[in-house]
Amino acid sequence: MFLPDCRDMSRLLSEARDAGGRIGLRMRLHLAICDVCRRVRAQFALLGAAAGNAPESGPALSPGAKERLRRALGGR
Amino acid sequence: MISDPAGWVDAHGDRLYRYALSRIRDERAAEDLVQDSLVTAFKSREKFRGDSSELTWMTGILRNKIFEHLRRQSQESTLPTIENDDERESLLFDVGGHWRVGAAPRDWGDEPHRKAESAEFSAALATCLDALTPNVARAFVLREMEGVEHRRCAEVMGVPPGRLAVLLYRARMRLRRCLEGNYFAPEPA
Repeated sequence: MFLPDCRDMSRLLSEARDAGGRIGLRMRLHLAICDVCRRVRAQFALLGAAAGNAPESGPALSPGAKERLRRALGGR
Repeated sequence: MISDPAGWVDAHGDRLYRYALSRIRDERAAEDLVQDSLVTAFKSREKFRGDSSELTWMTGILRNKIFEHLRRQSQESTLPTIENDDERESLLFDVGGHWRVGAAPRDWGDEPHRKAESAEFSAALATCLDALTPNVARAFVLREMEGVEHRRCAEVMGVPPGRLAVLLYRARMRLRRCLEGNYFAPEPA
C-alpha cells in the first residue's frame, strides 16, 4: 500500500478540515509514523479555532469616525 | 430592552469596528460596514427581543454585512494569481515529497491554544492575513473565521469547490508558517 508523502499529506489535511475532519486509512497510517504531519494537523486545527475566536485587537474608531457614525444615526 | 441608540456608537462602536477590521483589513470599508450595521440595527430595533446581548445582536447584523462585502469583492475580483502562484508551497518539500530541512513545521511549545488567546496573537494574525493575496485571505476569513460551510463559501466566492480547496490550502500553509515565524516559534536571533 502506497502512503501519501508529506507534501500530499499537507494538502489532504487541509481538505480534511473542510470535510468534517474525516481522514482515510492511508492518511492515518502516515500520521502514525510522521510526527511532523501530526504537528501540521494540530496546527491547522489551532489556526482555524484561534482565528475565529481571536481576542479583540487593533485600533479603535477615530473621533471623526464616531462623529460620522452618530450623524448616520441621525444624531440620535 | 434595547438601549438608547444615542449611546450605541460609544457603547459598541469600537468592538464592532475591531471585529470588522479583523476580517476586512481595510479601515474605511470596516467603518462603512459598522455604519451600515448600526443603521440597520436602528431601523430594525423593534425586532430585538433580548434573547442575546445587544452587542451580540449587532455583531450578527455586522457579520451579514461582512459576508455581503466579501461576496461583492469576490465577484469583482479577476482571480489573477490563482494559477501563477503555485510554486511557494512546492518549495517547502524536496523531490521525494518530504519537508525540506528548515521548512518543516516547528514545535509551537506548551499550550499554544493559550498563546492564541492573547491580543498579541490577534496582531500577529492581522499582519499575516495582510501578507496573503486578497482571494486567499477572503477564503480563509469566510471559511475559518466566519465558519461558512465549504460549498457555500465556494458559491460566494464564485469558484468551484476544488479551486476553493487550493485557496484554503495556501491560506493555511502560509498563515501557519507566518505565525510560526512571527509569533509561536520565532527563530532565535
